[in-house]
Amino acid sequence: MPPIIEIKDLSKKYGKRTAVNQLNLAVEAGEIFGFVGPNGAGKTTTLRILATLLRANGGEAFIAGHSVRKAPRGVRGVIGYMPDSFGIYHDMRVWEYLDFFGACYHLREGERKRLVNDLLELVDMTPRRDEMVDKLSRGMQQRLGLARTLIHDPQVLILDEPASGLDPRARVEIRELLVELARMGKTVFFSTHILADVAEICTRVGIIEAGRIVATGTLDELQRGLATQRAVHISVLDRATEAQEFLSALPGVGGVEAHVEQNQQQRTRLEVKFTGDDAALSAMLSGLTARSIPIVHFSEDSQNLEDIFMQLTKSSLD
Amino acid sequence: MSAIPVQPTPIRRTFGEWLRRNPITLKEMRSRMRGRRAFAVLTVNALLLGGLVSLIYMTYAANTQTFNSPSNLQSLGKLIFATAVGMQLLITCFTSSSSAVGAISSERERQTFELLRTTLLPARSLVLGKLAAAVLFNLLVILSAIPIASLSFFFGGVTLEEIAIASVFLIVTALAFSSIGLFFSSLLRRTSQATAVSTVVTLILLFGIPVFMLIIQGLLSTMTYYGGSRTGMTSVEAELTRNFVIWLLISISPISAGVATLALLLENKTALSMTLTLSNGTSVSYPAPWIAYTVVYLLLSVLLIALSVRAVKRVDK
Repeated sequence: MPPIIEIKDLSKKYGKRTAVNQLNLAVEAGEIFGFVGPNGAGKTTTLRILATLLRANGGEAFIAGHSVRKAPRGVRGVIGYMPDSFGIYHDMRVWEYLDFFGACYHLREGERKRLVNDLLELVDMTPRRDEMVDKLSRGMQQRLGLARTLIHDPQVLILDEPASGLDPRARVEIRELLVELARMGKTVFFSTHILADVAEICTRVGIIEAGRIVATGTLDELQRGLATQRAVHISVLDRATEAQEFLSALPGVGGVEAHVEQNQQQRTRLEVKFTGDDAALSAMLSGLTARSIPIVHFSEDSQNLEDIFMQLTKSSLD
Repeated sequence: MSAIPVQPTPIRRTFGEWLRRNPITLKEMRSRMRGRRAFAVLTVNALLLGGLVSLIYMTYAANTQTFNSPSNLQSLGKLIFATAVGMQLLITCFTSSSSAVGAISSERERQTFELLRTTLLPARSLVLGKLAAAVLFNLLVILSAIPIASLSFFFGGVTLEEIAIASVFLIVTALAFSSIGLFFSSLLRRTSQATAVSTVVTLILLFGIPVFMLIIQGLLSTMTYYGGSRTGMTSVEAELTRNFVIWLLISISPISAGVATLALLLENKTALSMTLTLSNGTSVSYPAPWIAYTVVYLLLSVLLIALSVRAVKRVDK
């Protein structure tokens, strides 16, 4: 099946400044794809091109097979777009707001009535149905905005910083809502600065820097791709020297440092620099146990998304 | 939630059906009538017209001769009607352009424009929906003046023809000046800029053109006097040109077109044509200024609506 979002060599320039530079990306249906990058990396520009609000200078993008350049109306029918900061109408009630946008998608009155009720229930706003939109909190407005993007039952949600400016509780609620939407079969493509959200809910991540995608994949794939050397921590009760000699002789081991833990047990912690794969790591543990070395702890340091992000976007700081 | 197939826009609809189904018109009308502004505009309009008509009545009533002759009463009726329509015309020019001037720019300022742009609502429906809401509101303002203008019917003298012409004149004015406001709103990013430009254009059309017409008339009279000696035209040709230019200028300003139409009705007793006599005694007929005004302003409205749709449709580059 072709990807639901396909971006091919997409470029956008503002005068002499290149905002998006030959960007290529594919997102499969049903994914929650996190689009991460530093400020000015080209996230919003890319999202606005996908939402048919901005014309690219080069390349092409397709959503559910519709070209954003040649068939913008087709694209609008299959996407729900929520910009970073979006306005609200001050003189509208919550249900009127959703009903109005439903009418903008040519939905019939009866269908709109049912959909408005369903959506308010989905975003947990049924009790606020008759409140004026401008009286809602920022978190509530964001949830209403999300409900608005769903009014025509789109296949793809394009969300620009959906959790920005929200308090921790509202952020968690939005996150849960995105997972629920993915469960309903929607593809969620969202940009964010909040790496914890990405790590928590995204099935895949794309890191963009200076208008180019520098890495895509699952969090595991990114960790593996970036790790040049693994750090393994082993704690032994006794025979530390023997363990150190055995480990140093193994292929792929770059060095072993021993530290005596300053506690009652007086364990020795060995820090092993290692470039082997998972099988070699398992063989390392088997070798130690075969020699009856008393191991009490065996673990590997894992990079978190923040480390990966910092490493990949380092050049923007240089 | 089950999948809802997006309905294609039906191709043929009656205007009433289109109006009821256009979400923009409904939203705008709802918003306008919810706020205090609509109430304030209607009240100020009624107070202004009522005050002016009362003043005229009191001035006439002070003269005891007024109520002795039917022709005096008819004159009073005509004057009340002409004053009410003239005043309403001025008010309509300003309220129409100001009620449409924020239509698109305020959506941009409020950051709701992009939300609308990503829906399936065509740019044409957005523009026409905004325009319809502005025109309907102004028609409501005009309708609210009918009880005051109809005081003239107690005194007689106002013909059905005059009522029809006044209605056409006011409706066309509401449409045209709303289109002007809407056009600048779609063209300029800020409502304040659009308001400033639209007000200047309204003032030029209302007062600038009549002043310009007087200047041109003076210049063309000189040209006519010298005849063909400097322009290469005979004096009759020069006179014809002068008359045509003046007729055109009269017809493109609401004030001059209104005054000329009123004079035509009072003097010539005809509402369809205007006859001018040249110095050699030849009579030349032109369509009455209100007809030319209607045609020119309807064409201008169509052009401005088309340009507004184009501006709204434009994808950012």
